Amino acid sequence: MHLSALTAAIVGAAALGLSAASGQPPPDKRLEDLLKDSRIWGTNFAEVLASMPAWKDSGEQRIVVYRNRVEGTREFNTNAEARNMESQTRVASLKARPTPAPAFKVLLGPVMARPITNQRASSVSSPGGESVRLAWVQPRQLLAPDLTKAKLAQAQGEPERVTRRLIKTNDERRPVVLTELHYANGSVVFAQPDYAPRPGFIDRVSLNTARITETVFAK
Amino acid sequence: MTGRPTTLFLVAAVLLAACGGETPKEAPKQAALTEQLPPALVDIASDATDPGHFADTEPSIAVNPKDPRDIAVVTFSEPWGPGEKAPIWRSSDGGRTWRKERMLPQIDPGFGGPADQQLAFSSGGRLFLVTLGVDESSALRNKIVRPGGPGGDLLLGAAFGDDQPQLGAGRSNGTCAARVYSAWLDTQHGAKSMVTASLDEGANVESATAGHTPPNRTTRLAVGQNDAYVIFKSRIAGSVAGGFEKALFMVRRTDDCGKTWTGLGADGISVTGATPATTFFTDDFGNPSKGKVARARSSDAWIAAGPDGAVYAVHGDRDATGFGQLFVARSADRGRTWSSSRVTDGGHHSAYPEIAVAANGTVGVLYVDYDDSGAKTVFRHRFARSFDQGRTWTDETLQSLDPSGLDNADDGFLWGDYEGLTAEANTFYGVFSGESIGRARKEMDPIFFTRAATR
Repeated sequence: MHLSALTAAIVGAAALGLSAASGQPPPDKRLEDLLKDSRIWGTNFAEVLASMPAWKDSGEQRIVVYRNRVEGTREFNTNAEARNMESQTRVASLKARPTPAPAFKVLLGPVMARPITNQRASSVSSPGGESVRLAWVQPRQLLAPDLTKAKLAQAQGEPERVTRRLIKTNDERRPVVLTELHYANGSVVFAQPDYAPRPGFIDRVSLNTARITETVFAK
Repeated sequence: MTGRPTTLFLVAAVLLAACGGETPKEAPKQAALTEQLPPALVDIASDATDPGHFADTEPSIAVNPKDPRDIAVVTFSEPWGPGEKAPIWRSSDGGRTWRKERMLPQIDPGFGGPADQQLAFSSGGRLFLVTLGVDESSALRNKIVRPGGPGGDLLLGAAFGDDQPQLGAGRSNGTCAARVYSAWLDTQHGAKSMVTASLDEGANVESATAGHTPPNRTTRLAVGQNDAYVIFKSRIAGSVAGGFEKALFMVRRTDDCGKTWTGLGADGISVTGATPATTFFTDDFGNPSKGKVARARSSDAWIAAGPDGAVYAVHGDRDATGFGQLFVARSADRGRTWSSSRVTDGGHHSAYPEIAVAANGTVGVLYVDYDDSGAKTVFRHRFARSFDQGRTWTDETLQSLDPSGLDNADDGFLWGDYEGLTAEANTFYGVFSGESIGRARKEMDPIFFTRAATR
């Protein structure tokens, strides 16, 4: 384990211990706070939350939110297979109109009141061009544009865990290595790539669709 | 540390004794240089220069022919960004100590990087670098970077190409002097090998097709006196099986400074003749049940031009031993005919070769093999030398590596597709991604070495 990861794990464990001892919010409350923190998310992030049940119902266990797009994590072999799932997702998004939990009513109210017709899934190639995923590519601001590890820590404390993950490519280009910052028991994982057009920023966040649906929407 | 400095000192002493004509002034200078030879292996990174613990993979090396103490290395480390420059590792004392110079600017707005990159010194001692950027849509773009900007800044050349750029600088004073070449892989058109040449150090470029029968993938470059060579892999269709593929390693030559690459006919010449080689095409170089592995899909050939005009190509081929082995083919007639010998030991899978030829004709090959006879896969960076034009080889293990305990050794990409080897005068200079030396914790780092091209 990296020294920094170890430190982060200890800090995270200490933070959790403190919260338990001092009666601070339980983990789902932490997730709630995290998802509502406007210092982290972009102005259109509520639309991602609104779409979470649809992503979950279409079988995506995790989705990845970038600055201006959302991608599923399942890889499809063909465009046809992806398009089939795309239409299922669209149907699911129209059908799944659950009620926001009280804590999210203000945030999601304006979004839930209108049909989510502009949130169309489309297929995009993953690096290397040999697999296809579902994605929403819309001119949206989904993450805070200047989100860094330091700003995230300032807003939400140190991560519970820090991991390193390599994104493999199907060609010979330099693979991206992500430093992953785990929050809310891994329901939300922020990631900073080792190189990017704007290096040094968190450029993607992986969300657990089931956990977030449970938290954001009423039972 | 091994006893190598002593050995080199003795070699140098013998050489000094043999050079009876040297002036009294030069002898102490030579002795002083010998005393300053770096240890057998030098960790280029340190806790001070690499606080971010980058893996520093896919390293490349260049040595200034005007001053061999001036050495440059690039690795995958810190990125460039808007207003931020990426680093080049630099030594001014022959590799004993290293610093990070932030010199490499973002090639264009919106492009992340550096991705693949390679550097080379010209015969005049000018340092060039080719570097690859990637934008948010995964589009790729190369630029050749050259010195000469205000305040010591590097200048960016014209955009060209796609994946895995390689670089060569003209070494002659003749018709092709000052030419800079880059070989690369066009992934937009079925992975076809391409070559770009520039008359003006990359400011303007012209690209030509080098490969055929794609996918080519491995594409490497060597610059001779007044010619240049490109070697590319040409897969036999439908031959990928069990982590290997059948392929021809084709060589093409330019005799007109990169305008055309038909010096060896329209298709070029296969270094193995009509019989294809069986070479690695796998994401699992190593034993996946015994630890981390490396990808080896474009890591099976390299080419070098010797001072006597001979051309050497090293390539992979699984032989009767059942192991993927490395062979060196030599051509004394500028690529028309080739004779071949095996470099590796016949008992271990071997790949990732680089080849260089010293001024005295000694040939060096840097490569990686692995031993999975124990509980964990142990990768070995090895260096082989031939003092008889590639007929026989002596071999040493530079470093053994069990990557399982190294956090920044990424499963599937341990050192990259290639590493760095070059020769200047009668010395080989190399860099590989190996285990750190003398750092607070063990991790992957760029490891530098030199070896004499003399016995």
